[in-house]
Amino acid sequence: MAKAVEKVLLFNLGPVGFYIGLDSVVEVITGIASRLDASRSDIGRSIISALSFRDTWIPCVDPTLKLDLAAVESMADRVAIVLKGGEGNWAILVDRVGEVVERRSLLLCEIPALLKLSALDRYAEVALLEDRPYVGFDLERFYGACPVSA
Amino acid sequence: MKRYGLFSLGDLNYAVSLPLIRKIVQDAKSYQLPGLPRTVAAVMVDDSALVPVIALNAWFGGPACSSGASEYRVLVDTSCGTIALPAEINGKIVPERKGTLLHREEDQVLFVEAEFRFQETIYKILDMNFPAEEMKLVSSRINPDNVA
Repeated sequence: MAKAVEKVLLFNLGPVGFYIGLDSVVEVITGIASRLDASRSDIGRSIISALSFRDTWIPCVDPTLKLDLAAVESMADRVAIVLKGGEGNWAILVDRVGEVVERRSLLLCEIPALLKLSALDRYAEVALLEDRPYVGFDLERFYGACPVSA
Repeated sequence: MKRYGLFSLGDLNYAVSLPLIRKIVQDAKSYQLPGLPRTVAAVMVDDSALVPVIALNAWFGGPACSSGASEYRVLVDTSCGTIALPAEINGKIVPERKGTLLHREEDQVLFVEAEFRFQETIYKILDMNFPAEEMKLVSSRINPDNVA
C-alpha cells in the first residue's frame, strides 16, 4: 500500500509565515466574530475566548500573545484553525490561511546562532519554501485542549 | 595589502575588513521571525540558509527599524556565522594605504575596532566579534550563573 504523502497547512500570524501538520487540523473557520465568547478567556494561557464549534465550546488561543507578534487583521477578519488535542479540539486564531503543500517541499534550515536564544521559547524549526522562511508551529508550546461545555 | 569595504547607512559610515566580506547582495527580501533580538532587524535567505540582518542603527543608539529600507546587504563571516549588514548604494573598496587608520578612542563603543579616515569621512571599522559578545551578554542575562 502506498504511503500517504504528509502535508502541511501554511498560515500567517502578523508578518510571519508558519506551517502545521495537516493531520493536526480538524477544520478552518472564517467569519468567527459571532462564534466567540470572550467571557471564557484565560489570558495567562493565551486563551482569549471560547469558540462555538459543533455544538460545544472549545478554547480559542491567540498565539501572537506568546510569540510577541502583532496580528494584522481585526478580530472579525481573523480565521480559526481548529486542531486536534489530547483532550479534545481547540483552536488558534490566525490572520490568514495559505495553501496546503507537501511536507517534503519544505527545506529545513538551521536557526542562526544569533537567533537561537530568542527562539528557545517560541519555535524549534524553520523551513524554506520557494526561498521564503516558514516557522514550524509547535502545538506543544501552546494550550492543548479541554472542551468547555456549552 | 589590507583593504576595507566602506559603506554607509544614513548617518552611519562603517568599514569591514575585506577578507570577512563574503558577498554583497542587492534587493534581498527580508522576513520577520518571532522574537527577533533587538540587534537583529530581520532575516534574509542566501543559498538556502537564514542570515540575520543586523539592526546596525540599534547598535549605535539610533532607532532599530530603519535597516529594512537599505538596498544592499553586506554578508560578513563572524564567529556566530554569517550576518548581513545593511548598506546604501554608495559602497566602495579601498586599500588601507589610501586612508588613515585612527585607533579606537577610550569612549568608543566596544564593537568598533578602530576608525578609518578616507576622503574626509570617518568610517567605523566594525569588530566582527560583536555578535558573539552580544550573544554572551544575552545568555548571561538569562543564566546569570553561567557567565563565561
